Order: sequence, then structure tokens, then C-alpha cells
Amino acid sequence: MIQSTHTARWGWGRTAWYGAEACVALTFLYSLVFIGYAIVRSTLAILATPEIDAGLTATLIATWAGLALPALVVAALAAIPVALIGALTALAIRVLLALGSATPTPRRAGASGLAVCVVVSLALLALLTQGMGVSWTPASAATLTFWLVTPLVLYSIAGTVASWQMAESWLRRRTAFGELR
Amino acid sequence: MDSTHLSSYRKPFWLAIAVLMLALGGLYVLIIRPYHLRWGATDQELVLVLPGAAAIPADGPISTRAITIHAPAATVWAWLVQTGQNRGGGWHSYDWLENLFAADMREGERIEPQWQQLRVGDQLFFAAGGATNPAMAATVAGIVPERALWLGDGWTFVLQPIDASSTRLILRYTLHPDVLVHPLLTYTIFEPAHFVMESGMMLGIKRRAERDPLLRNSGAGR
Repeated sequence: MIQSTHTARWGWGRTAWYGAEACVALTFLYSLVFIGYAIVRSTLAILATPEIDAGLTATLIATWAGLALPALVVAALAAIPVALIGALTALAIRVLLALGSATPTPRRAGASGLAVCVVVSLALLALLTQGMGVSWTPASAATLTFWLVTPLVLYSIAGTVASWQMAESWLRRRTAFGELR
Repeated sequence: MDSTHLSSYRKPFWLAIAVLMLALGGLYVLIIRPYHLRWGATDQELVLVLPGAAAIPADGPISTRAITIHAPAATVWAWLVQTGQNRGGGWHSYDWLENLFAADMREGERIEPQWQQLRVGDQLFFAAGGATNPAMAATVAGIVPERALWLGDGWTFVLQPIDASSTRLILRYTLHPDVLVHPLLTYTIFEPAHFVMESGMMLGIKRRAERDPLLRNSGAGR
């Protein structure tokens, strides 16, 4: 029984890699969504301008590229710290799940994932507000929503879903091992 | 959705991201960046000697961008001089984008008499922190009323009347490669973003100056 449980669970390295990869993928997805949003808004503004002598189509394409390139470069730069956070989060969830029953239910795993992500998010918010003096004001609302609140909400949702999937994967493998034995 | 189902998307996802970045990077270097650097400008405008340019050592690429505005120079000037986060007009560009970077920008939609006086030494804030952070502000280095305005960081704005109701707005900017931490970041983040914001500003001034027929005919700065 113990042997089958150990075989069913992912190793520490695989868990860390999965967490890192999921967070980096989310970062790029977020930047792609931002690029889409920025393209739509800038296009509406450009289309509202009559007679652009540099050419409407060329101006649109140049603006889209000017928006996309910096966003993707920033996402690539953010990938390094984000991968670290993702790996550490996945390991923390793995540790939390190992404390309980041999094979956690997906529901319990999801709750554990959400708890870890919320704790990390609150710690980050405390560091920024208490340690670095960042505060929520009407002037900073858009900035904090874009750079902090939305990413942390996505991170928490992703942590919950990924933990759920991890537990499902363990359950399937355990069942498969059980059937084989 | 199980993990094996999810993993079937992993390779195509990373491949798509890699292809997108490589294709965009290649297109940018070969085609888009040269276009960015001279957006709307004629060959003559590229070599035009503009006021203020000589005071700035050109240690990086220079962009020259131009647009025709169907409004008198006085009207375009009225919009130009109320530029700045601290001057009621914002930068006439994409304020929703600037506000993602703590700019606290509120775009002005009409000409305000209190912002029509601009003097050498005045500061134009790029963002709300301009009063305390020198990187967030530019100092007016020279003014020729209704013709030219240049800032201390190598940014020149020139108005050339075409006729009584049309004006050419020409902007020249000297990029300093060390404006961000590393030149590579300056060229891949700051330079394309600067094109977006500067061309957005020029389009914003054009839209506003051409919008009001009364202003267009009378000249708002008078």
C-alpha cells in the first residue's frame, strides 16, 4: 500500500518543474491577453483619427508591434522570478498534501493549493504595503490592479486547479497500480 | 481536463511563444523599427535642422516623426503647451496605458487658459511623481511661440504652418541607450513603447485640434 502511494505521487523535481512551468505559461498568457486588450484600445483611437499621412494600415501594424514587443520582453524577464515562485508554491502544496492522508482527494488538494497561494499572496501584499509603502489610492488603482491584484488572483486560481489536477493524477496512477497488483 | 490532456498543449504552446517572439523580433529589426524611427516624416524633414537639437549630444538613435494637422499653428500650439501630467492636458496619448505605470494621467479634452503660458525652466511631468523624481519630468529648454518647443532631455516639437488652416507637427527625439538598466532593454522595451506613446500623442493632438471647427478657424491660443 505504502509502496503504491509513493509510486503514484510525483517526485519533488517533477512537482517543482510543473509549478514553475505553469506560472511562466500563465505569465505569457497574461501578457498575450494584455496585448490583445491594448491592440483593441489603440486601434479604436487610431481609427478615430482622420487622414493619417503615415498610412492607416502601416500605423496600425507599427503600433501593434510597438505594444507586443515590450510586453513579451517583460514577460520573458518576469519568467525567472515567476518560475521560482511557481516552483516553491508547488513544493509547498506537495508538502502540505504529504502531511495528510496517503492520497488526498482532489477537493482537499484544491483547498490546500488555494490556501498556499492565498498565504503567499497576502505575504507579498504585506511586504509591498508595510515594507515598501505601496498604498491603494485612486491614482495607483489601475497600476496595482494590473501588476498585482489580477496576477495574484490568477495565481491563486491556477494553484487551486493545478493542485486538484495533481491529486487526480495521483489517484489515477494509484488506481492503475492497484489494478496491476 | 486531466494532466495528460493538459500536457498535450505544452509543446505547441511553448513553440507558439518562441515562434511569436522570434518572428516579431525579426520583423521589428528589419522592417518595423526603421518605420518607427521616421513615422510620417519626409526625407527633407529627416535632415531638417531643428531648434534645440544641437544642445543634445546624439549618443543614440534619433527618431523624427511628423504628421499633418488640419488646423492653424496657433491651435496646435495651444494643445502642445498644455502637455504634461501636471498641466491639465496629459500627454494627449493613451492615458489608459500610461495609468498602468502609475502615471495618474487625466487627458484634457479642451484648451484651458491657465495652461497656455509656458516658460523656459518649467517642468512637464511624465507621471504623478514628477515633482520628486527627476526621471519622471522634463524641463523646458527653449520656446519659440507657435513654432517650437524643446525639452532638456533631447525632445523637440516643431510646428511648420503649411497654410492658414494646416500645420505640420514634427517631433525629434534622441534616444539615450542607458535610459533603462541595459541598452538591450532600452531597444526592446523603451524604444518601441516610445513610438507607441509619441505617435499616440501626435494623433491625439491632431484629433483634438481638428475636432472643433471654431477653434480650427480662429486659433485657440490667441
